[in-house]
Formats: sequence, structure tokens, C-alpha cells
Amino acid sequence: MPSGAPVRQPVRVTDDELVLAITSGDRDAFATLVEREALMVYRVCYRVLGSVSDAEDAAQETFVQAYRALATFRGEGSLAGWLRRIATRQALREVGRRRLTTPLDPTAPGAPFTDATDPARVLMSAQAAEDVRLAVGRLPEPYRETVVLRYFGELSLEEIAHATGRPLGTVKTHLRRGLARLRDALPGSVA
Amino acid sequence: MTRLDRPDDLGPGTDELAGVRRDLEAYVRGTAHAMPPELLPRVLIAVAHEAPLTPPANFARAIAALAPRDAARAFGALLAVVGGRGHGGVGLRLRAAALVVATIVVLGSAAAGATIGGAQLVHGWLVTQAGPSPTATDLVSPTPVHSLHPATPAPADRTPHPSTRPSEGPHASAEPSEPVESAGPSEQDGDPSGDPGDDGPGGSGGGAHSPGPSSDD
Repeated sequence: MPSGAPVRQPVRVTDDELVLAITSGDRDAFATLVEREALMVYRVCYRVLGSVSDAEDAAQETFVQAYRALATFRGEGSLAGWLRRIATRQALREVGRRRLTTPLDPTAPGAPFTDATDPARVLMSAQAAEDVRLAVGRLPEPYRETVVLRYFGELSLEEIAHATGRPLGTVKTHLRRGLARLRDALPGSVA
Repeated sequence: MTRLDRPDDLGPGTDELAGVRRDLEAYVRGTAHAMPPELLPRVLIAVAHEAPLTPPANFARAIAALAPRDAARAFGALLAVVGGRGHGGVGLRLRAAALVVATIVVLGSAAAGATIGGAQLVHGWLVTQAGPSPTATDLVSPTPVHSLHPATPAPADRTPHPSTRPSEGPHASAEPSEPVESAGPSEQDGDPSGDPGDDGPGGSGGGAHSPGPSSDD
């Protein structure tokens, strides 16, 4: 006779199956989607916003928006890419609202580079991270979205092309130009 | 390991971007920490307040948004639910089936209307191209006018003329050789002259057959 709590086995479902289940009213399927994608959605938001609480708010809003719009998901790209694009737009919208004034707190839990042992290095690294974040946030569109999706969202160029509906060559061009502008904005970024 | 480990091929002349790529990758590695544990339940609670997603609701939403592509997708989901796929009980399936039937009826009616309208347009164009044919119109047009009139008048239109009936009766019988000879048979049908008001008293009882006996009386 089995004893104790049942062990939940992860079941790998395809994007199409997940979308069909959610749009048929299955909220458990949406919970599966949240469990699967929440980490990356949160990271995208954190990397753009630089604040744990703001990233949590943006991640939550991302999933609410995704839930409302899921019936319009056409399955042309991955569900992960679709979600990360919503997260990117949500976080960038929040950035525009705050005008990038909130600095990263180097001592906050989960802040970047807190694993360094030297306090001076922690502060320097935090400053460098803040410079990168602010420089990305100041990029004009569509370079900013492409850079964020590629680096902060960790999507491949093909996934970005699917998620944005742009040709792959256009995505490459946007990324190259975005990186060139970033190089000019970050004085220490020499090859 | 992230997908950033494999460098992108952005074309020639992009080696000078290696420095900024390294900065970005360092930033991404430094921010790859775990998410707060309370985020998952928080998201699920927020979504629990949203209206449930069902294929009928999605279909209605797509129709209301005038999004034919989304509507087509939602219709496919409806068919899937009717066919037993997806999540949902009998009630949901019945609603989905009703919506499918209603959609088919509406689309069928629209298609039939479009076909008939198109045929009439083509017919009208052909008639215009062929030129007017007076003999055909002269022969055809009087018949439907007489045959349609008994059915069109409302009962309320017949009642205000009770006094006209006695005088009309003899008048009609006194002139059997009127050009409109069809008045004889049509009087039996309750319309001696084709005017709805002429068969008033008998017509108040109802319909096209009642005036006949009253005029004979």
C-alpha cells in the first residue's frame, strides 16, 4: 500500500497540447506552464528592471497577459519565446515608466555578483552590471527588444525571428546594430 | 549552460563587438539566480481571478474582436471539444456543439444569400445586355399583381369600408363585360377589383375566401 504524499512525475507535454488544454479551461495545465517558464520569465524581467520586487510584479503581469491572450497563440514559434517576448515588453514598459532611475542594489539578496568574496569587487561588478542594464535600456527600438530577447531572454536568433515575426536576416541586422550602439555606450567594452 | 555559449553568426566585421558581447554574457551569468519561491503561488492566484478560458468564450471573443484568423482557430478548438479532445465536461461539449451548429447555419445562410444575390446580379446583367423584351414583361407582370393582392391586405384595412360592399356587388355584376374579366373569378377569391378595401365586410371575418359568399348574398 503506498504511503505518504504522491510523487508528482513531470510529464513533458508539447506546446500545442498545453495550449489546447489551457484554452479548454484546464487551469492545472496553466499551472504547468507557469512552473515550466516562470524562472526564465522572472530572469528576463529582473535583468531589465534590476529589482527583485519589480521583476516579480512584471513576471506576474506577464503571465496574466499571456493567459488572456493564449487563445491567439498561433504556434508559429515556441511558447517559451512567445512568453519571453511578452515579459520583455512588459519589463521595458515598466522601465519606460520609471525612466531607469532605480539602481541595482548590490547588497540585495539575489543581486548580481553577490557570490564574489571581495566587497570591492562586488561593488565594481555591480556598477558594471548597472551600466550594462542602463545602456541596454536606453537603446532605441527595435534594437533594444532584440538585444533583450537574445541576451536577457536567452533566445536563439531563430526563436527571436519566430517570436517577433521578423525575418532572420532582419533579426541579425538589429542585433548587430544594437551591439554596435551598446559598444559606443559602454566605454569599457573594447574588443 | 545557456544558449549564449554559442556565438551568433552576425556576418563579417563583427569581431569588434566581442567586448560588448562579453559584457552582456557576464551580466547574464551574474543575474542567473533562482526566482523567489513565492512567485509561483502569486501568479496562480492572480490568474485565478481571470475569467476561465473555454473554446466557446474564445470563439466569441475572436468574433467580437473581428479577428478571422483567431476565430478560425477558435472554431477548430470548438470542433476538437465536440470531438472529445481537450478538457471539459458534457456541458462544455454541448455548448460547443450548439455553437458549431449555429455557426454552420449562419455561414450557410450567408453563403446561400450571397449565391442568390450573385445569381440575381448576373441575371440582371444578362437581361440588361440582351436589351428590353416588352412582350415578356407585358405577359408576366399582370398575373402576379392579381394573385398577390388577396394575401397582402391586413384585416384592419378591410373593416373601414362596410358600406361600399352592397354598391360594389351589383356594380360588379352589372358589368360582366369589363375589360378586367378576371374580376369574376377573383371576386370569388374576395377581391373584385384588386383593391383591398373593396371586399371589406366579408373580409373582416378573415382571409381571402370569406368575401365571396357575402357578395353573392
